[in-house]
Amino acid sequence: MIRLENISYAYNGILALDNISFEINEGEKVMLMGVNGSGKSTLLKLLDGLIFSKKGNYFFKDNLISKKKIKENVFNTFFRQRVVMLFQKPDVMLFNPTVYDELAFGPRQLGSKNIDSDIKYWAEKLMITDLLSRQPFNLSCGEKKKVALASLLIINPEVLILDEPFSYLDPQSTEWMVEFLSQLDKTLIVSMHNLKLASLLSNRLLVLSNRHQLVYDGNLKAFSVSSEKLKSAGMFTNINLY
Amino acid sequence: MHIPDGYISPKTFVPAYLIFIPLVSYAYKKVRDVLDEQTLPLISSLAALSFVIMMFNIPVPGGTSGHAIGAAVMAILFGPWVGFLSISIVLLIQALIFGDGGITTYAINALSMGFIASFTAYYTYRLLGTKVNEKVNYFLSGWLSIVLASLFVAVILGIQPAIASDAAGNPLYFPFGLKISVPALVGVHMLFFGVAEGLFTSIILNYIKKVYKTQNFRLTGINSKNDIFVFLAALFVIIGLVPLGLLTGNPAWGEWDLSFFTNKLGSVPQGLQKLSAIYFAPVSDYSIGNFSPVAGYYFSALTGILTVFLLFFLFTKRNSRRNSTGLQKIMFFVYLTAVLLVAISNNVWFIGILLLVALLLSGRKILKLLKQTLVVLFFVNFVISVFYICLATVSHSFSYYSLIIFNLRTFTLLFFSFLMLRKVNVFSVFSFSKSLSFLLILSYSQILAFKKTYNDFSLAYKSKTIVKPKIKELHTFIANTTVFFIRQAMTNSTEILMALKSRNIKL
Repeated sequence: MIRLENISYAYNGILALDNISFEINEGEKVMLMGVNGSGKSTLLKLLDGLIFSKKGNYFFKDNLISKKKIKENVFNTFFRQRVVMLFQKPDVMLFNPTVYDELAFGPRQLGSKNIDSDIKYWAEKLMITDLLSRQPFNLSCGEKKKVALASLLIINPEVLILDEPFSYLDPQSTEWMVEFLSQLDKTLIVSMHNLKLASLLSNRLLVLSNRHQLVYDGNLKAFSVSSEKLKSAGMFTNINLY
Repeated sequence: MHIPDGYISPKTFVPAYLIFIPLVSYAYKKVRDVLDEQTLPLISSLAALSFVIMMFNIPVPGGTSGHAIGAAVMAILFGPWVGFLSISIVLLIQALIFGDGGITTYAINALSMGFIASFTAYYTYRLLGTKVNEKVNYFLSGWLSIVLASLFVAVILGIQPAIASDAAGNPLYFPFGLKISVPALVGVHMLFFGVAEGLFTSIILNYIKKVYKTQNFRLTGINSKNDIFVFLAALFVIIGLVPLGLLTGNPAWGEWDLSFFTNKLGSVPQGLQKLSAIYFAPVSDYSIGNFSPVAGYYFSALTGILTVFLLFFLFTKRNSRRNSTGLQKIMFFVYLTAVLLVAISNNVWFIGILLLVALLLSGRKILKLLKQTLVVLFFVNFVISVFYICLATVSHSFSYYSLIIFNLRTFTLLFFSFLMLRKVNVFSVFSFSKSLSFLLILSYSQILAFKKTYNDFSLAYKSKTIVKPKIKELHTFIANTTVFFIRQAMTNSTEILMALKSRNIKL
């Protein structure tokens, strides 16, 4: 479903991704890890068709994703309907006067007929029914994440990209989020820093090194028990954080 | 509306500084008297806010878009003095760090986009009051603020040919008179940028009223009721002083010709006689073939130039090893001197040699700097040059000299400022004033954070937009995002103050 071939990306001459290749099949849940500044967010933005690499190819369902291709209205709609992304800071995703409008944003654009029932369904599922009439920017961070997530899921996408979904969340919300995501029947690409949480969601791990290369693509358990592999990725710590 | 360096003669930019500095000091004092220790955190946060506002592209019905300045929103929400201060800080950072807008023209830019726009918006809003529909009031306040600011800029530009031409009457700075600059600039702003600003003002303030049930965050105590007199008085002074050169028959600011001294002092100081030939002599006065009387002047000019740049060279070399505040200050001073020399000189050779030396000293980054300069030059000067060629040819007043000096001067000044941006840490230069350097650093760091968040907002919007958005949807997006930044600016300002207090830093 998703195929990256030798992707490199640089911001104003500073390398952020170096020659990355991997494939993700439909329904697969993939965890993405790496030290700060290793290029995780860049990779996720690239997968969401927001930035484009000059070197290498990115295929989504055998369509080559390029700036030009995304500019075509028909393809843009096709792509945006199927691939969605939850940003690390939920604030940047909330730009409607009420939570209800926030959830209705996507369906309205698609001209959906049963907006009300869809909103009711997803609001209940994410436990935000009480918030529907509130202003999104007045919510707590955890609530904002849920609202942003609901506004993505309501258009029924196939691929969900999540940029550190657990940051800013308290333990209870984190537990809820892990359970919710693991039950979700979608292709997931999740970046995070916590191996233990990652192991609760999936068994496939991609690791970016501080030199922006893909240094590991494989079994999560095998990676987490090898201090050598952890060291090479700059992720080895002496204290047991979790 | 950012006027770059090289468009305005010293006859105009020096008086503009003389008006701007007392005015901005007065504004600062006035705000400081009320807000006390909250002043710097708040102004820096609001400066970041007005920076991010300038990033928004406002879609205007009809398919185009333009960016707003936000003076009206700032002035109506927070009062005109706070608006003027914040916008002045943003313009300073844009000129010194982002290389956007000139250094010599900074005072003029701050007077137009900061002072005139803020006060126009504020008093339009107050005078119209409830006489018209609120949305219309917001729109008109924003629209008029831009139109009046652009009128000011158009007049400043338009008087340049009249006050800064060579003996033959060929323009040395901005080449078009009032008859062209006023209709062209004001027209564009009435039809286009003014509409964008008006729409922006209306969308944002309306939204805030709906969401917060309040009309403003005007900070209690900064009384602006009687400031209309201050505004009018300042406006009067601006009108009187800035085009000084036009009103007085005598040469103004730094452009005395030698007969002035013969008349006043009886004789011309020797050194000045030499200098005057260097700086103020257009080529037309000295044919290139007739070299002998000029040779001495060029020799002294070269010596002066080389000294300046030798200093620059020495300090930049040493700088790579050691980053001392003193050196940074001297480098910045050398830069300012070089800018001033170029800005007031009408001699192609003099500017050319300075540019050459700067090129030689720019080191390995020379190609990048040249490219950067050429791109900006293309955007700011190309249209004017082409237009000048057409117009002057038709009216048989075309002068290669005017065309060359105008482009060469702008090019050199742009190149200087890009070179300075690479070599000097501007923040250390302002360390003479704790408040000012604090204000600049705080504003800049918040600007960077806001810029990043703004980019994320646009990406998230792109990511979530499934079909091409309608103008109305875009307007809602802009309103919500702006309100987010307004809230963020207010929160940041309180948090910064608390952080300062907890570390026991008093400013």
